[in-house]
Amino acid sequence: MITDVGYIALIIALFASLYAVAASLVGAQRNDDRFVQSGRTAAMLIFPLVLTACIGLWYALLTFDFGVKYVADVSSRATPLFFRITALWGSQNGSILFWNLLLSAFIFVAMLRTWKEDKALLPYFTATVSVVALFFLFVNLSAANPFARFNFPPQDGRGLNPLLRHPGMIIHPPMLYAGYTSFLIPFAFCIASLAAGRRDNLWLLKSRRWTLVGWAFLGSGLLLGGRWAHDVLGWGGYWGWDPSENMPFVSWLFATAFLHSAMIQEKRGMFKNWNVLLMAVTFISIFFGTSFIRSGLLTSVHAFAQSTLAPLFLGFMVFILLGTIGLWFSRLDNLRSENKLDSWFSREGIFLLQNVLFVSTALTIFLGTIFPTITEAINGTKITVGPPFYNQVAVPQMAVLVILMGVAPLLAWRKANVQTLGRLSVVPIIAAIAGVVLLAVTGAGRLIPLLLLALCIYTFVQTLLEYIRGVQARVHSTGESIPAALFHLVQRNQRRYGGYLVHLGVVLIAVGAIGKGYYGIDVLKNVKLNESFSAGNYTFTYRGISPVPCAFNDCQSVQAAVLVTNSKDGLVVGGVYPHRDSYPVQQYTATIADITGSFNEEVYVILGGWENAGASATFQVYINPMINWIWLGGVILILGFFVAFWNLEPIGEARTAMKVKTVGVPSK
Amino acid sequence: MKVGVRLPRLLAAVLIVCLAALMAGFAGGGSVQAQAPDPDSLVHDIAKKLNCPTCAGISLADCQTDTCMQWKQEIRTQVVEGKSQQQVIDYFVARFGPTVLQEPPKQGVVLVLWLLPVILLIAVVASVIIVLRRSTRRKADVVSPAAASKESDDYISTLEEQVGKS
Amino acid sequence: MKHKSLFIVVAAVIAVALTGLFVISMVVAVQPGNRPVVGSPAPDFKVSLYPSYQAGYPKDIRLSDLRGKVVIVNFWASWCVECRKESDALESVWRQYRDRGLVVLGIDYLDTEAPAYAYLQQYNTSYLIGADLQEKISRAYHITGVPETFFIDRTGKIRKTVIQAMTQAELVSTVETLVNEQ
Repeated sequence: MITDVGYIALIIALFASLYAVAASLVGAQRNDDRFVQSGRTAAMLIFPLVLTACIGLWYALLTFDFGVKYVADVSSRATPLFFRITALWGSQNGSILFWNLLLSAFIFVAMLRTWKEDKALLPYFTATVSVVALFFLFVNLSAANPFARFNFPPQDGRGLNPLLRHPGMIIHPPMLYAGYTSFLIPFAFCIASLAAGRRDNLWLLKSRRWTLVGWAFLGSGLLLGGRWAHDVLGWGGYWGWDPSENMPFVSWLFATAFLHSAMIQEKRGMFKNWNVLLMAVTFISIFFGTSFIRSGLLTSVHAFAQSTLAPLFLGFMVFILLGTIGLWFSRLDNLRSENKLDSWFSREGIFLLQNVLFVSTALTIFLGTIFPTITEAINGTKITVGPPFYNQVAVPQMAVLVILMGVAPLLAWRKANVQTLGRLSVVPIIAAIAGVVLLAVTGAGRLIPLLLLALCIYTFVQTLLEYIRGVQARVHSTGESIPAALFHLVQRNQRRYGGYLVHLGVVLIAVGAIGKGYYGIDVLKNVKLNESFSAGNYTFTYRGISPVPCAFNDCQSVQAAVLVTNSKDGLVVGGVYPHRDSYPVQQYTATIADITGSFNEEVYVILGGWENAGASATFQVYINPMINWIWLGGVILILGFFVAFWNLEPIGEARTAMKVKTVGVPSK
Repeated sequence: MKVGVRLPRLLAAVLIVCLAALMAGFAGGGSVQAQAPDPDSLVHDIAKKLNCPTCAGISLADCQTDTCMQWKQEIRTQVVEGKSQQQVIDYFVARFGPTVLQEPPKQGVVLVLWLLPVILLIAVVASVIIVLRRSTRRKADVVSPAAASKESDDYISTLEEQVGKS
Repeated sequence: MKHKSLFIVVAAVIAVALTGLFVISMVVAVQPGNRPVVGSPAPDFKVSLYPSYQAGYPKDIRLSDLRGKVVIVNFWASWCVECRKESDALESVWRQYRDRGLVVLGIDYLDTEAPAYAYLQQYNTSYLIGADLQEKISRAYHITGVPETFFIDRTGKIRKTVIQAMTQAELVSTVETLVNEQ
């Protein structure tokens, strides 16, 4: 009953979004505020309606209503309460509903704004967000209906995919979806600004916080996805360059490029064209990524692809692409730069270079991701573009981005001074050389990783020095104590110092990736009971296997005991108990690693299999140096986001108000 | 002023050389040094070059599903029979197609994949440089040296001005 | 103004190239997604049968060589747990109907030989078995996984597809209908 109410609410939501589009466009056409406000109200209605639909589906999940196909697909009587709640996004149809929930929630929040000085944008903004909502609601009601029922309900469901039973997997999709959906808001601001024929920066200033939020959600979604892959997939890594990771990463790279180039438009009134394009490309890549993954186009024949979604997504994407490009071409005149680039050796110049690199990195990854699909169509052979391609082509570009990250803050606007750059680089360069020599002496003697680590040290030290110099300058000019100076420094320049914190986080992530990628060791070994083998500086002794209770009641678990000792001094590092959980219903075996070692060097052990009731067993051991720096860097990155985000609005509002007075003349 | 023009160009050249060297280095280097002919490690080395057939991206060496374990067993059987690494890989390609290779061979259509990003990068960087050179050249007539040096004033005093404002 | 227009040209070229890439890859990806449907002719393929699993047929056969017979094309693999549930049923249906014009053709999917032979021995399989070399057959049939089965009638048309393990009763009832057609 409640489930049916949810279904009906979803249908009403579709009509509400349709009405919002129509009313807003009529309002814009006739310049009639009543229609605009009515459209706004309708757009706000979508959220409570979709929420009702979600409650309906949750109700079905909680009451074991296996008559609903979706419920039978993702849960069973054995599924614990917590996973029945998260099963809402456990499979395709439900996750599109969940997507709609987040999308409409963001629309709701955006509509709650006061819309004073940006009133002219409102109708176009409402129309844009509502068209997108309309599309996803339509998908949810046609090709991907989570409320579809069986004629003859089964007794029990299949249960949630074992891979999804991990806290990381519970948080990771919502994060990623939130990142994806929140980008609709800045995109709609951008479209509205073009449609309304504005020449000013209003859309940029108004959507800045949204862009940051979307960027942070995407970033943390990617990090959590890495953590999940590390913990659950049992392969010692954290990033496999597979399509479902690449696509969000591509969007994240575009968004990062936008965040940087938007600063130039704000400060210098340049790159207006470029910013509009970047925002459009970011959103389109998000839409493309979702549709590629959601419609199962990138997954191989092994996945349960639902290609009925593909034509729908394709059609809508062509619509967005043509619409955006057409609008952009017709408004080229409004996007003229207010200033010229004085010298490329300036903050703007380096930002442009950095933007080019971000975009080319993103395109490289995008190309690698879609290439197999294209070759298959051209000559029928299916190839795999694996990590080697990305490591050889995308990683060098990222390495250059790390250098630019260290250099850019030192360059002045308009025209920088070489002497200044040289003088300020002395300490970081000495630190980088010292660090590399130290590493080389301690045995990490390989050219490329040492070179990359040198870049990381330079940028890290340079960024830290930015804080130190800032504090010194403040102490010098105001006479404050050092902690007070640091606090005020950050408080007065949140975006700048939050950004630097993000840079520090990125460097730490890079160090972790270099450590794991170049100094990681992995060993596969079959050993008899009580026999030992060694990997890196560690000795592993197999102590037998035994069945243990499994984490869920629809699986069986077998656990091995392995003693890890340090090969040099023979001291015990720890005992590890990797296990294999088999899920008969889903025909899946989860390989759960156990981890020991230290912060700087993770020892990751997997039970590969066993023979003769455990008389011998196969182990796979990964020694992952520095991998934990990735997670540390991730935390710092998010911290940096909060520093930059918090309390941004008053500054933005004040600046906007000023700008509107001087340049905000809408032209049509 | 002259130094300011030459140095950026020099820096740009250094950057491009660095990038090229890095790419060349990445393309050349890579795999961890092979150890003694221990079958376990040989199997592992071969598995690293192949793909997990049922999961995206992950190499066979990192995959623990039943299918992968079986494939690894097959590699072991062939290694024990005395086949070389290349022979085993050739067998897998013949049986399962080029999909099984982690790194697609750099020939035919696949070459496009490797060249396109490089071409793209060079094209974009070149066009940006052309655009900027034109603009800076014209700029030189407009901005007096005094104005330019005023812009590039001392880093510390700019910073003090920025952070000290309340 | 000249450099400005060049910039726009560059940006436009990138935008158009991107659009092209997006659309082409999407179109390409959409187009091969057609599973052979019930009632359509079964896509033809060539398969090399495993020695001692040829049931009297030549080593290299095509599906079209079997025109006039009822063919069950069954995708399986030795690592597939679910496949084991239907192996006995397939074997017994084959033995029961082979004289009335039934051919059971097992297509070994992403499998290695040694475990495949062990599997076949365990289930006393005697019907035709061949490997899906380079995934050519499974891709022509757009299978979603294993086991998956296609029933092909005497005229070469697909009459039924099943995406899970089948019971003996289910097999018999389908085969009975198909062999009785002339």
